[in-house]
Formats: sequence, C-alpha cells, structure tokens
Amino acid sequence: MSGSEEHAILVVDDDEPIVKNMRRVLKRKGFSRVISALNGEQGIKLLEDTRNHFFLIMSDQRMPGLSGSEFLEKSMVLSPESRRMLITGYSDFDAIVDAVNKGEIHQYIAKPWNNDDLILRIQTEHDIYNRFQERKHLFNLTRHQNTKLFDVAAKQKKNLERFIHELEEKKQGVEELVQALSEARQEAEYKEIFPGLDELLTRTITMNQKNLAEAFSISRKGVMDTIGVIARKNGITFSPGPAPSGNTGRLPEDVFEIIDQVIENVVQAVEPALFRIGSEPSTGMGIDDYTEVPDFGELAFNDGYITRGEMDMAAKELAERESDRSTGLTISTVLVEKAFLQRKDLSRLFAKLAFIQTRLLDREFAQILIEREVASKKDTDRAFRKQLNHFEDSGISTPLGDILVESDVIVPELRDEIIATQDRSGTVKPDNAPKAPSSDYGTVIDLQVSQDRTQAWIRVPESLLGTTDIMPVKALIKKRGITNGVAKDAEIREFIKNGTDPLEKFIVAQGTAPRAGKSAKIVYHFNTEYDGKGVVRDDGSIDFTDRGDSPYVKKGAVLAEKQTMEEPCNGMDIFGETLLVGEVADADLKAGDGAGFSEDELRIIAEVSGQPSLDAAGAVSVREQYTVRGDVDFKTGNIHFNGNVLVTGTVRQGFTVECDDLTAGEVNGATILTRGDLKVSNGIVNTRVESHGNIMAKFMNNVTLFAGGNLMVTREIMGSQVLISGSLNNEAGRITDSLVAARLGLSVKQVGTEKAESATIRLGTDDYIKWVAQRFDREISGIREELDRHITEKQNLDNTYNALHVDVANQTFAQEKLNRKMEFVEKNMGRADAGEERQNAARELKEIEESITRADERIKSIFKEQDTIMQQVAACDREIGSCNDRILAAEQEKKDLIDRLEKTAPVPELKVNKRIYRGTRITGPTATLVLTREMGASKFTETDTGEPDAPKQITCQVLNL
Amino acid sequence: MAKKFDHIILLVDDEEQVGRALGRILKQIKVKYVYMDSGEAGLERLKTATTPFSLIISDQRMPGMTGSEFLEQAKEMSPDTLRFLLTGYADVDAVTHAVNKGSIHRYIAKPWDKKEFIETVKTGLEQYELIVENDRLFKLAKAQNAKLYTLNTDLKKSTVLHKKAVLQKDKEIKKLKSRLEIGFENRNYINEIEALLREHDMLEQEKLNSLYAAIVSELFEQFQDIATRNGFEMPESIPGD
Repeated sequence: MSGSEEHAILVVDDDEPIVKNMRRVLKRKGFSRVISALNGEQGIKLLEDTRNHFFLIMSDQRMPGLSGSEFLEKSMVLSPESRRMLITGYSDFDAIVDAVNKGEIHQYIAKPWNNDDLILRIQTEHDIYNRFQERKHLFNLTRHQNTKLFDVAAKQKKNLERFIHELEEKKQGVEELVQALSEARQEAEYKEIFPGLDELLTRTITMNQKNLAEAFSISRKGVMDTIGVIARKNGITFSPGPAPSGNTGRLPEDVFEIIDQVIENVVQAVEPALFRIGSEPSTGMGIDDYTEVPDFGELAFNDGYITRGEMDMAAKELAERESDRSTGLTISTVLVEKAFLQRKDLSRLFAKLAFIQTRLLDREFAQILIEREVASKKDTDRAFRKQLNHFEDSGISTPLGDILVESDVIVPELRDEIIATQDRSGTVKPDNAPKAPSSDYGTVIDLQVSQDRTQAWIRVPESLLGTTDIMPVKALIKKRGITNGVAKDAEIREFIKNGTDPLEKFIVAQGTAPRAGKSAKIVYHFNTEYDGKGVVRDDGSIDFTDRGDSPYVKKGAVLAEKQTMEEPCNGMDIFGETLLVGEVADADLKAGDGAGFSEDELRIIAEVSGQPSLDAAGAVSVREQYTVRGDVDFKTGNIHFNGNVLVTGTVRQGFTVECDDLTAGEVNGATILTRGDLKVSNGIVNTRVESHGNIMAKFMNNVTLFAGGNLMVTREIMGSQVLISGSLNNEAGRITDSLVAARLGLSVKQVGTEKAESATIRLGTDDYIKWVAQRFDREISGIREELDRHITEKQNLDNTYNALHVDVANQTFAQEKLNRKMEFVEKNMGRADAGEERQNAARELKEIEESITRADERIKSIFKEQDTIMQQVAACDREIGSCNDRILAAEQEKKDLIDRLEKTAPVPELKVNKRIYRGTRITGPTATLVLTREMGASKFTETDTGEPDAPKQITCQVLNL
Repeated sequence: MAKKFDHIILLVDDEEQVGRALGRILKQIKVKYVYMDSGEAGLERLKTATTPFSLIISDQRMPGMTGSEFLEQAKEMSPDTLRFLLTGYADVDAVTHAVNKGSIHRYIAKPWDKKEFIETVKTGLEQYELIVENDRLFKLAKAQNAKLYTLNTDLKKSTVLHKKAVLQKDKEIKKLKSRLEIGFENRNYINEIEALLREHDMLEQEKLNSLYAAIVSELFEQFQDIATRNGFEMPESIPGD
C-alpha cells in the first residue's frame, strides 16, 4: 500500500522550498510522481488535462488568487475521485472542520509539519483512494456477474423448455409416422386380396356385352400404359400391336406367372375407372341426377312415358276433379284412366321412385360412413354398383347398408345406428299433391346474363305465369351452369305464381360485384417537375442565372399530402368464378432534409425556407443555398454542403463538391457528388460525376458520369462514359468516342465522325441501376466486414473473459484446499508439544497463509481485468448495433432508390436526326447491332416480335425529317 | 457511516485517567470501546476477541511493552484493524521507527485537540469500513464466480444431453421414414411389375412387346370366359381399337 507508480500527487503551494522538501520526503516513501503548481489557476489547468490522474490533491490555504479551500472545491468537479488535503499555516480548526464536514476536504495538515505525520496522512489517503477504486471494480463485477447468473439461469430454463418442446414435437413426429406406417401396412394388405377377375367385374359393372367390352378396353389400356411406363423407364421402345397368335412361343416358360400378376395388378389399379362404366345416362335424367324425389308425373315425363301435353292435361283434369281427391285420386290414376300410361309401366315407375328415394338416403348414409372412416369411397362405390345392378335385375331397392353388411364392410349394429339418425319414414312421395295446370314447355323461358356476369334474370312466358312449377326454371339455371347467388325456390315460385307480365324481368341469380380499390396517392404542393433548364445561348452555353421561377417555400408550408389507400374487394360471378380486381399500391411519404411530418403523418411540412425538391428516392426536401463568388479552389477548399451550391466560376482541378443541387460556370478536373441536379453553363472536363438528379452542360470531355435523372448536353460528348437512368437530349450536338447508356432513350443529332473512334450507345438498359446496386452492395459489404470485425472482437473478449472466469474458479478452489489444510495443521499444532515440531507447524501455517494471500491478490487482479473487458464488450455492443442500423438503412435506401428508378418502363430507343457513322455499336436490353454503314436521320428501337421465344432485335427506321 | 457499522475500539494506556478521558470522547460520538492498561493485556484481549476491533489507540509510553511494540504484534494478530499511536513530544524517534516499519496508521500528539481527535478517529473508522466492505464484495464476487462456473458447466452438460436425446429421436424418425418410403414403393404396382419383369429378364424390346401381346390375348380370353358365363359373347369390335 505504500508508493504507487500509477497515481500522482498534485501539490499547489507558492512556497517552493516547502514543495521541494515535500517532494524529497514523499519520494523516499515511494510516491515518485509529485507534480506541483504555484497557484490554484495553474492547478486547475493541470487537472483539466485528462492525461493527468491524481490520487491526491494537496493545496496550501494561503495563496494569491484562489485560496486553498476554494481551489479544492473547484477540483471536486474536475477530479471527483481524488482525495483532497488542505495545508494550513495556523490552526484554525473550526474553519477546517467545517470544510471537512462539507466534504470539500478529506484531510488537513498544519505547517510546519512533522514528516512522519505527513507520510502517515498521505499513506492513509492513498489507501482510502485505492480501496474506493477497488470497491468500484468489485461493485461493477458483482453487478455484472449477477446479471450473468440471471442470464445463465434463464438460458438454462429456456433451453429446458425448448428441449421439452422439441422432444415433444419429435415424439409426435414418431407417433405420426408409426400411425402412417400402420395405415400403409393396412392399405397394402387390403390391396393384396385379389378377388379374381370375375368377382371384381361383377362388383364394379353391370354385366352386359357393352359394359364388359368397355371394361376390357379400359383394362387393356391399363396394361398398355403400365408396360409403356416400364419400357420408357428402361429406355426400351415399346410398340404395342395387335396380338399375333402363337407369338408367346418366344417367351420363357414361367411367363404365365408374370401375365397373371400383371393382369391382377392392372385390373385392381383401374377399378375406379370401371365404376364409371354405364353410369352416364345417354339421355334425360339418370337415377343419380335427382337431388330430390321427383313427382310421379315428372318422372314419367323424364323417362319418356308421357308427353308434356299429356301431363298437363292430366294435371288439369286432376285440378278440376279436386273434390274427388279425398277419395285418393292421384295423377297416376288419371294418367292410366286417360290411357296415357299403361298399367304395367305404373309399377315400374313407382319402383323407380322408391329406388330414387332409397338412393338419395343412401348417399347420405355413404357419406356418413366415409366421414367416420368406416368405409372407403371404393367400398361404397362398389356397394352402389351392386345396388343398381340388383335393382336393374329385379326391380327391388336393397338398402346400401344391407349390401355393406353382407360384404362385411360394416357390422349390422352400425348400419342400424346410422339409419336411425336418418329420416326414412316417408315412403315414396304421394303424387296427389295439389298441382296447378302446367304451361306449355314449348314456349321458351328467356334467361339472360348481364355482361359483367354478376346477374341473371328471366322472363317467363305467359303460359307459365300463374303456375307454381319452378322445375323448368331450375333446370334452365342448372343447364346454364349458374351456381352462385341463385334465388330461393320460394322466391322463384312466388314470381311465377304472381306474375302476369311476360316482359317482366326477375333476377334469378345475383353474384357479388367486385369493388375496385384506390391506390394511395401523393399530391405535391410545389412544382416537382421544375428542371431549372436555363436559357441556351447561341454558343451552346446555358444561362442558369435567371432563377426567378425556381420554386421557393417558406418555413411551415405544406409540401406534400397523402391520400390514403382504399382496399379493393374481389367479387364472384353467378357461375361461381372469382372476379378479380387490380391490386392497389400504398405510397410512402418521405421527408428529407429541411422537411418534417405533420402530426397525422399525412403531410410534409417545410422546416426551413428554401427550394423544395423531390429526390430520386421519393423524399421531399427543402434546401438552403450556399454561394461561391468565383472559383472553387485553394481558397475555398472542398465543399460539402447540405443544401444547394452556386459557383459563379469554375470548380477547379482536384477539388470536390458534394451538395444537393450544384450550379456552376464550369467544371474542370473535379469530383462532383450531387443529391440533386448539376447545371453547368459551359463544359465538364476530366471529371467524375455521381448525381441522383438531372444534369445539364454545354459539352463533356473525358467525363465519367453516373446520374439517376436526365442528361442534356447542347454540344459534344467526347471520350466519356455516361450511365444515366433517364434520357439523353443531345439534339444539337454529337457523341464521339464514348459509351453512353440511357435507360429512357436518346435523342442525338450525330453519332460518330469520319475519323473518331466509334461510339457505343446503350438504349433502355439498366446500367445505371446496376451501378447503383453495386455501389450500395459495396457499401453494405464494407459495413458487414466492420460488423464481423466487431463480432469477432466481442467473441475474443468473451473468450478471454470466460478464461479468466475459469482461472478465478481454479484459484478459489485451490484456496479452499489451502484452508482445509490450514485447519488440519492448526489442529496438529494444538496437539504438538512445544519445540521443533511446533515451530515447523507454525512455519507451515505461515506459508499456507501467504499462498492464500497470493491467490487473493491474483484473483483481485483478474477481477480488475474482467472489469476492463466488460467495458470493452459494452463498447463492441454499441458498435455492432450501429453497424446493424447502418446496414438496414443502406438496404432500405437501395431498395427505395431502385424501386423508384424501375417504376418507369425502359425506352429502348435512339433517335438520330442527322447522321450516324458506321462502327457505332447499338445495344438494347437484350440485342446488339453494329452499324455497318453510315446512315442519315433514323430511329433505332429494340423490338419485340411478339413471339415469346423469338430473339429480340434492334430495328432501324429511316426518318424523313 | 459510523452508525451503520458496529465499531469497537481498543484503548490501551497504563494511565487509567487518560483511558477514561479518551473513552468519554468516544462515548460522545457513540462508539463502543474496550480499555486495557497494558500492551500485554491488550494482546490477550485481541486473542480472545469474538468481533474484530476496528481501531486500536495505544499510548507509546507504558511500563513493560511500549505502544509501538504492542502495535507491531497487534498487526500480526489482526491485520485489518487500524492502529493509532498516542505520543508525547519526546517520542519522535519511536514514531519515525514505527512509521518506517509500517506498524502504525496515524499518531496522535499529546495533548490532543478534541475536535482533531474526533476527526482522526472518524477517518480511521471510515477507512476500516472500506476494508470490511471491500472484503465482503470480494468474497461475494468469488462466490458468484464459483456459482457461475458451476451453472455454466451444468448448462454445457445438459445441452449435450439434450442434443443426444433429440438426435436419438431424429434417428428414430429417419428410420421410420425410410421404412415408410420402402412401404410406399412396395405398394406401387408399376414398380412391382417392373421388378417382376427384371427378375424374369423381360426388360428387352422384343420380349416386352411379345409379353404385351401375350397379356392382352390372355386378358381377352379371361373376359371372353366371363362373357360366356354370363350368357353372351365379347363383341367383335372393342371400343378403343
């Protein structure tokens, strides 16, 4: 605890011999760095220098200028951790004690002092100072370790939770797989049972010559397809021909095994197709076309037993004899009476009605079984086929449930249970329901669909009006495929019944019309198109001095307003098709420099007065202007201005101007970076330009230029490389020995000369956009590298920290061992006799104690190191955060800029109004043309032949100017 | 600060009056003390103390052991306790000796000024509190470190165990999946037939074409059989011919 090299003492005293003496005394005690000042003012200067660290500040009370206590009070602010000692010439204890109590000084010493006293006091202060420092480190460390403990515990908990969750998921995955496997096994087994061809056909088709032939055809095709697939897979040419007899001789003996196997497999595979055989009725309504049980008359008519006229007459008669209805007179009776229908057909029709009814209910029944996963669709299809076959053979309707029970698909209990839930009480619908005379169906119902397909209406002929028969209308709706928004039966019936006017329209189906949305729109309240085009003088130079018409806004003015988006809504036509409407886009208001948002964020307000502008990324800014009278040269230096810059003279060789808009007389050998436009009255020479805006100049020579806007050059473009996202206007000039790429096309007077190197013109290409993307990518990858460096650094720091951590743990562990050993030695010593043994033990004890103390010192120094590392890690974290923010910002900026540039479709067009020389290379987005001859006024375009795969090409059209 | 901490001061002086006078001052600032009339008694007291003394104030001139001798031994027995020496004008050499040996922290000149004495004692107690507080923090930091070490080791261990368990499940899933895949392939009749054909060396153009013809002819025969059993013939022309 004696001297320390790290920390110095500041002594402020105007009595030099005293200071000299003090320095000597302190040096002997190891305090070699004693710095002195003659007065308080000097002392303060020393404290203000951050390189100085004093653990102790001593000051004489009596000095010219600041008194000692005044100086020490001021030093509290500049060096709060230092200890402060006042040197007094007389013993005014009351005043001193007062200062001590106020916390201004920690210690005082009276002149003349005793050197021993001085040393003791300084040692005390040094000890206290060191202990405060130590306490600070330990405080930080314990706090940090506490957080770490909490983090590790939380991490452990999270890990455990995640583990449990993950394990649970995996377990579930295993369960699902086991389930799938068992299902797959079942299905495989299910398939293995081949009932034989005869049985399979019996259960799938109605056995007759036609159906069997069709089944054979399907099976044969199955065989052909199967062999075909296998042949293709093995690269064999397969040419199925008719079966030549006796050809099997070339096949091996055991071929029949294969044949049977193939037939068995193929027939099973095509079984679903076999179900469809004969199920499509050739004419009229098939049994399975009814969705409800028809009237007797309707069925008789549908099946062609009676004509519509006969049916109407019977219905009319039935109505007239209404009084007899109580006696059970039905339409069937009337039909038979009138000899429209033979009695033998009567029973057939009733049977069919009963079958339709059963079939309808069985459809429900089958659906329930499938939903309950008791039977497969295949099972029920087979049963339906059997049911139909049975009905056609015998005229008896066997319930599907019975068939399924019989073929062991379901148990009788299940059948009974489901049947109980169905309403099978009603038998065949009695045909004696009141029936009004029907109209003559020969007259046509008029059904029309609106152009937008969202509405259908009918007009009903007089003959049908006043009836309650909606079947013809329903049939018509169905026939036309109208499925969506169909009017209710009751409504249709109501209309037909109450209608009188055959011209009256009734809407039978109403779809939903789509509602178009509205894209968000931004309205700008200043001239965003202002291009600041100057006046072109006869010599081609441009006068930009007339700036009276440039837009100007005052602080607080509304610059832009956003009209919010309205969401669109798709519709559905009456045929059930979705009617799509175009998507709408949102728009982002963006405020740049000098502009800010209104409270509702729907408006942009000017924050300063100046020139408003809309930049390439869509941000609205207001720029102030900086004017340079004369040249940009050694006098002005490089210019970096957040606003517009006006240079009345020339931007000289080697200088850089970075600003929003730049207007200059001339640019020669400079670097220009503008966020806005660049306007140069005369030429740009030997210069690199990067600009987000438009560029205007008289001529360009040896310029590398990248611009997001348009370029206008009144005279020559020579030896330059120009990539722009807008269009080039060079209608009075010429391009020689240059590469010019303009995304929105070029209009030029002349390209090339007899002698000059030929030029390359690129039309409608994305060169500038690519350049922008690359520039951002470079920037981003630069930040990424920086980020990686910080992450690595943090990782290394963490590793070092953790290594120290292990180090401490080891030291502590060793200490514990030493402690135990000490206890043991102490115990032995207690038992030992006085003399040598006891002395040895005492020596050993002392050694152990020293080891423990050394370990403590080591741990303390590690703790201090850890404290430093913690601070470095915190600094790393700040850097990492800032890198991530910068990457996000750059990515967003890149996206915004490119999106905005790509919004306008490229214009692959070059217009030459005087001459274009041979050798000129013209490149569009995909095609290239090298001119082999000189041409006059002409227009070059990359055309699309319309063929999707046809190569695009550059076509030339000679202009007649 | 002094109030939070239960300080106890050891006063050693052969003159009981001096001891009593100092004790009165300490009482005024509410600090407990123990008085001993010789260095030997003081050492004995230090040996038997249950709570360590914050501060020892000892007179230099005593019969037997001198103050500085006593404090030198006290330093060995209770190194953290602060040691102040009470001296008269004639004891200059003793002080210098003690300072050089590092056995005293301060000396108080007789006759003492009461206010100065109080300030000196207070500074000493403050220093002692710092020593104790730092010691406590140091022990805490060590304990935390040990706990962190254990927790981290546990975490590593459990992570390895978790990984193992998950890996095992993954293996199980992989096994089941491959089994399922094999199962599906078995059910694909085309693959089955292909395997059958391969087994019988039928995957050659001529053989395959012949086989197809043979299958179709066999198939027709079987259908013809069924037709006959149902009382009709297969038609002459088959749809799809």
